[in-house]
Amino acid sequence: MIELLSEHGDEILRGLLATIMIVSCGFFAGALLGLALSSLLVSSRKALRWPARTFVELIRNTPFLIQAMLLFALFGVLRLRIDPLLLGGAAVAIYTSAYMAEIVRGALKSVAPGQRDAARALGLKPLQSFRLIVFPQLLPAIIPASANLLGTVAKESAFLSAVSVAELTFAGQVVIAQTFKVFEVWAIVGILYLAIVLSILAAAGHFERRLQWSARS
Amino acid sequence: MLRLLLSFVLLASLGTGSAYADETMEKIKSSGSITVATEAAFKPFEYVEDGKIVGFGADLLQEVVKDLGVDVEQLDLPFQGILAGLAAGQYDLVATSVAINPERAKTYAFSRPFATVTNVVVVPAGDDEVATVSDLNGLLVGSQLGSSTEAIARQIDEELKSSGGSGFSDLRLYQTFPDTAFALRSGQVDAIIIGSTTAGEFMAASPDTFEVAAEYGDPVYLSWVVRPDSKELLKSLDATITRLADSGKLYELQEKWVGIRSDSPASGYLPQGAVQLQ
Amino acid sequence: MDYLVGVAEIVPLLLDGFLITVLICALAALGALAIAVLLLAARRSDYWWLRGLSIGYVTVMRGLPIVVFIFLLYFGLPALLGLGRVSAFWVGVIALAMNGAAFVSEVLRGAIARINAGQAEAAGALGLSRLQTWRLILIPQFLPIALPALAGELGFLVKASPALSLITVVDLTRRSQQVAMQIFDPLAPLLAAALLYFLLLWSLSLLSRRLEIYLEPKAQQR
Repeated sequence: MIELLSEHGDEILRGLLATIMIVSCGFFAGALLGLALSSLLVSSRKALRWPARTFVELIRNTPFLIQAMLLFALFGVLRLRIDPLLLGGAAVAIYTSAYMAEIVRGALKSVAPGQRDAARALGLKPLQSFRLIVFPQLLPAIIPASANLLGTVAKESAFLSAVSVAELTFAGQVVIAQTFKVFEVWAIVGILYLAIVLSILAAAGHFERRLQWSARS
Repeated sequence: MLRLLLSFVLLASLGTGSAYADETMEKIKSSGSITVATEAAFKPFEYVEDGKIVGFGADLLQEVVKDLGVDVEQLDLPFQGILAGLAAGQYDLVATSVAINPERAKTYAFSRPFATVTNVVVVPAGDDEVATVSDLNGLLVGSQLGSSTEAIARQIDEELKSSGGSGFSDLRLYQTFPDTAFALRSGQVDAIIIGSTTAGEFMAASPDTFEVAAEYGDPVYLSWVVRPDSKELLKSLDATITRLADSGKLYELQEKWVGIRSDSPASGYLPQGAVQLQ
Repeated sequence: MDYLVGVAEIVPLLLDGFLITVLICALAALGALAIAVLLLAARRSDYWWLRGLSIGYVTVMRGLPIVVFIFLLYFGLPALLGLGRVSAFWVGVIALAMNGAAFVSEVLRGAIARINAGQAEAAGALGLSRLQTWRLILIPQFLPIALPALAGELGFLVKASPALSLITVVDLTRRSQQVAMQIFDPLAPLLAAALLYFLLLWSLSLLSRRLEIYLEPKAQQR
């Protein structure tokens, strides 16, 4: 095990960093996209609501691996050369956006519609009223749910190895191809994922308790 | 659970401790069935058509199990990890074309080769930037993860660097050979390093898309793999290939599937330090 | 347009893979439910180490990607223990079931927690037997909470199941890859596979929503 780490540790470390980069950048972009999508989802205009709803349902009702494969195949057909890490991040962002949109939509339902009218009466512009009045109220519902989503996304990102993105799982496969040490490599890779995902989930639990507490006080 | 684990460990240690001639062969004969692993993504040797594994290897496998007088159970596995699974005893034979190279020969036993291929550099058709291997300096190159051509690609990269070049801009690895072809066709990489027969298949499947820019290194022997202690199984495997080679059937199969004949040397195909030679 | 016709023509080629995916998910769901009940029993046990084991199990499963868990079980464990050959299909089903069980047990635990503990005692005081208590008092309250969530979990199983394609099982995903190699087009078979996955998952989520509407209002109608 120690020999394995000293000889191939850098490869695994590079994979770990790639996974962290893909997941954090992809998630961040996806969260912003999801926020924008959620406003379309609750729009009163059918022409805005329908495409957004279709997109969200398509993403939420297909496996991440299929989405990633489709995205890679599509960029292949279009003959666009993009760094696989970037495209992997894009796959994560697309996946995140649909789930995030639903989280935000669910939270929006809990904010009384009258508040928006009140904000308008006070002379606030729609974006201002969202930023100052609505959004702060969404946070207690959004933050724990999105931390959980981040944990899920980190796990799903392992599927990117199947489309040859050089992330942590792929790094494990590269090292196995050279060393044949199957169990050891998957154990190390597994522990690394556990560390990432469990710390995200612990943070989610922490936020959940904090926000509940502050809501009560 | 603990007791179960312990008994597994005990069984495992017993299994490695006993010194029978060839346990694999005994197991095959007594169960009346051999389990083989194939990566069915290596046209024309082994690939899936209409849900069935076909190709040169499928025909050869039929002959092999006919001589063994047993049934066959065939698993379709990803190439990376296929040799590790053999070592772990998940199956008895890797019935998929594996190139003989020194690293593998240290751990695994190879059958008599049934075909010879060369490593080639493939580029998009009409691309005249690459005429020799040294033109790969600064280019984005693809190959299959865990394949012998991955090792060749790394070797080329190192040679380029040691002779003063910049080496590849990057070596990109894919899960299967068709993935490398899709990547080259769609411009994701500048060149791919694969076997000549694979290149032939891609050129047939997608005409006017690819061309072979250069060849590299010595001919590569394709062979099937068993664990080094499966001596009886290896003997039977070699006997079948030799029978087919002597009768000319082997070359007919090559012509049928690959389109051209190639060597099946009866000896001298193992590199120095091969575990079989000890 | 012609391309879409081509995609539709691929769908029949994928049906056998689709059936395997459905079979995998059905078996894994049953397995997950069985393991989840065991986990729940362990969680409510009087022995601290059983409770710890149950919590530890759920934690590890929640933190491990299904891809890595399946690789560990299929490639890693047999190599470590010298188990010899293992069936990819069954290892895959077991891995999915073990992974799903952690989430199912949490769903069940959440549903049970929402039922007032005093009710069982009250039912006992009324002279109801334990079986009667469960049948008449607890299960009718428990199902509306648990069933839609369980249908949702089934959806998660389907979405995790392509992991089996990475260890040789010819499910819908792998079948689409095989067809891609056969026709030398990576995109069309994937679109066809995505369509089939969508239909399966869409009907599951409809089912989940139906269950929610069907089971929930009764309690609220009064």
